[in-house]
Amino acid sequence: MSNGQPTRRISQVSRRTSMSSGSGQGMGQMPGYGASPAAAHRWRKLSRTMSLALSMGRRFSYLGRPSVAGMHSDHMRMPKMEVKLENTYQLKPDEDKKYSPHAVRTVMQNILDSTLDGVRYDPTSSAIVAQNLTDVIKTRIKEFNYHRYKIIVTVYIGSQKGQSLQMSSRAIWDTENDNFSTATYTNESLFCVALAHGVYFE
Amino acid sequence: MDDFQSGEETAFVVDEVSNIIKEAVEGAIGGNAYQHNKVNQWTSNVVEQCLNQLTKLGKPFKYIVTCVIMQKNGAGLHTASSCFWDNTTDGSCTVRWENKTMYCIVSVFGLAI
Repeated sequence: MSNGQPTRRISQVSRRTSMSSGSGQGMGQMPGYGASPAAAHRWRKLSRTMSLALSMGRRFSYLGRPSVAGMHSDHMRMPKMEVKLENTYQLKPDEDKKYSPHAVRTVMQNILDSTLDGVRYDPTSSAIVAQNLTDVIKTRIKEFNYHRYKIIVTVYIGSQKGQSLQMSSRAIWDTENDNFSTATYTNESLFCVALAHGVYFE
Repeated sequence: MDDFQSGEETAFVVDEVSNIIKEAVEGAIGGNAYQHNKVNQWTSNVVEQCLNQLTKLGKPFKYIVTCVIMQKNGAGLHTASSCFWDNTTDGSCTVRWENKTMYCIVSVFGLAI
């Protein structure tokens, strides 16, 4: 249905009501639409059929929009452009776009080595260092462009005082598409463990 | 229609998950003192129990559970995490538990399918 047709109908309905309220208004008083007499004549014919339809209740829905009148109503009545994404029908990532634990591990190790080289453990600043590390690692993993992958990066920084620490991790996920990588760094005053998970979003 | 109805249930509920974690930790290492040779088994038990209870919730989530057990030594430990996910459906829960000889930190990440 072209945009022109329904608009015309609406404006005709409103015109008709305005005309009937002030009886005796001639053809010359019809604003805007169809300035020529022939067009106006056509308009009157159409409006008669419209009124019939109205009384029968078929076009009742149009009564809900009486305020629309005039040619400029065209762009006001255009529907909002909603972005609709098409289905890709893909159930898993492409072979070369899968989360690669090895590549991520290399990147993480580089970041840890470069950031923590010579840094001493400090209770106040280590918290900030840990947070920064997670953000940096997450940004670098995003640069790999793993499409439809959710990424979780965790960083543990602790002081070295001869204590023992055990870390275990387990997950329920799709073993084909999801994976994780770890990297560790130690110096004399601190140790650091970085853990990154890549989970495919079906 | 089904999607709208189940929308309320398929958000990550932190309280529910934190209760599950607390129970799992209490059950696995409740009254024990730190023992180096048993720590491996303890962490595995905690993680497995957490996962079992989480799957029993029956929600369409993928879970990642991490457990750290550290001996109390006066040493400090900082944890930070950064996540790239959907904020409306995914969530995480971290529980810190301690007794006289050790700390236990369990993190659960739930990612909606």
